[in-house]
Amino acid sequence: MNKDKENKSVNQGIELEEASAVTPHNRAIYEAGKILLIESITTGREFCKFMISVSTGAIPIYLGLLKFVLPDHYTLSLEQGIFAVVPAVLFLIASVVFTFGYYPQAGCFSLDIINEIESERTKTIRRRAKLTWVGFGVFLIGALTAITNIVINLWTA
Amino acid sequence: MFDNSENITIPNCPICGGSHTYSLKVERSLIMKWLTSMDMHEKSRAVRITRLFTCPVEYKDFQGTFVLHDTSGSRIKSIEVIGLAEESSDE
Repeated sequence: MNKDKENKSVNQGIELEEASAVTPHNRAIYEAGKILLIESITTGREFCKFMISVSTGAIPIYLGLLKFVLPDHYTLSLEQGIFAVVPAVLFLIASVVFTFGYYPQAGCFSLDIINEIESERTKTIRRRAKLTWVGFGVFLIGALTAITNIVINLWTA
Repeated sequence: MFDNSENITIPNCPICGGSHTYSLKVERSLIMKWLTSMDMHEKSRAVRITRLFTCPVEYKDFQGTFVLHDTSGSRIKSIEVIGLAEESSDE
């Protein structure tokens, strides 16, 4: 109580109300913030890494399903062939985009200058987020085209 | 919007008991508006903020709750603890 009175009397513009040890709740929130700050860079990278394998893995799965759906000795017309290839190409493009997202970014900053680290971190997160959205968008279009393709072929064959 | 550096002195550090002065970066937004007679007698609004400070002696964190005042013409946007102010005294 005496400490508080003393604290209030010192500051003119800013009134100090209380100075105390960090409460367990605030400490937990502080730790959560720290984790959020540190892991926000790795989360995007891990997602890109995961999506590279998903995108590349989707190509043989799609082609396998297509082959399974089509009857034996069935020959696709030129238009059907082009349409059948589109999802595989989209999956490939998505995996390339995710690879760019996973690739380490070249940057130069000094560990002594906090602002430089912060701006570099923000730049990396923004760049990765952009690539992630583009890659995921392409992957989704590829998946939709693949499903449509399989359903159409199942219907016509 | 303008930044202002303000100092806060904690005479009784809960970690070491010493007195430390910290520099705060106070960001305020200036709101342009017609001044009315009501504004002339406007009471300032108290903004209670809790921030973490690091004791320079023990290098441990403690929390400080302080009050700043703003009006409808000048709003406090953010407050950041920059670090120890130059004129601080550590005991």
